[in-house]
Amino acid sequence: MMKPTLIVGMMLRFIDCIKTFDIIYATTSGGPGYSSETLNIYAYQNAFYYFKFGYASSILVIFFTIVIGCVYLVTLFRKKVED
Amino acid sequence: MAGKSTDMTYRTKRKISTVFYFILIGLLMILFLAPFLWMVYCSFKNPIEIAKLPPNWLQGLTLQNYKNVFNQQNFLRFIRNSLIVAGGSTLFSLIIGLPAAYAIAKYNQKKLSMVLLSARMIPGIALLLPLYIMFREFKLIDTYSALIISHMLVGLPFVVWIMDPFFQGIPKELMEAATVDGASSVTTFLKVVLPLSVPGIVTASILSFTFSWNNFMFSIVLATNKTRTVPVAIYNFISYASIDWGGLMAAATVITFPVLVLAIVTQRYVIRGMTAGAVKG
Repeated sequence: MMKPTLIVGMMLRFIDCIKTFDIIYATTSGGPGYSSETLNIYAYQNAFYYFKFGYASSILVIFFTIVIGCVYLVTLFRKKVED
Repeated sequence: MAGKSTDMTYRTKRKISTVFYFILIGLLMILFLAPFLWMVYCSFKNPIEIAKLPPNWLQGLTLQNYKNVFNQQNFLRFIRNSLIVAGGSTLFSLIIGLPAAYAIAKYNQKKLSMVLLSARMIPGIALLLPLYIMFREFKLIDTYSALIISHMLVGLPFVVWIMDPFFQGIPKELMEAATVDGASSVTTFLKVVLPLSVPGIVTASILSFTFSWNNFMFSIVLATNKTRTVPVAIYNFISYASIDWGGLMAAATVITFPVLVLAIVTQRYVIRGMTAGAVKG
């Protein structure tokens, strides 16, 4: 009964987590080295430290595709569960 | 309720489960509240005592941190900036989002609402880059309008997302009755639908306001000296040389306070509004 709702909850939470920016930026900003660097932080640094806007934009397009892909997979899975 | 029941075993069972329930809640509360309480506690300590572990609970208590925050850092200015930005973005999100949500609900535009929901999935920074380039061209960096517009990008879908099920829950007959009485669709919306959905509106505005108040990423790029909001101002307590933990904690406590009060006061509405939104799942 709860499965579809749980899946939606997990999906939204997953999206929120993958988008985490402020915690990483404020605590380590990607360091030490590159060990806590997510796509978010990487794109931010490329855009606003090195002013490579094109490069950063392409990173974000890929990032967005990943997120949408995950959401699509979850939706498929949810349809399967519901049937 | 308890007085009516005479069955002793039932009662003791009930009691045990209640105790268990409160223990569980207590554990969860500790988990969530401990960092917060630690923050409040540290905001009253002097810099030397903060780093000490285990802490001397009652030593080195001081109000100096709060004095620093308000006197040296000019924090009231940042709070005013934040209020303007959060209030403005919430207001404009409501003005645009409420009619939008009403139209989506009335004409059952499922696809359109999915498109709006996808704004929730886009990583904020993906919106930030093009916005930054555009605002730079329009000379809008470091203005309130830039911040308000960027915060609306998240606030607006939020309002639509929460209000859509609310409007769907209002019976069609009511709107038909209004039409029969000669009200135009705008009048129906303003005089019949809106007053009925006050809990939803309160929820949507609280959540949108809180989001804008807490938002760090948009503000750190689009705001510099004139319009710096509180999360960015707090981040400035962390400098290369040293971190003013006391001031940081005090400032964090100060900015958490209004949101906390807002949440507690309107909690009843928010929970109702949230569950109305969750049914869609």
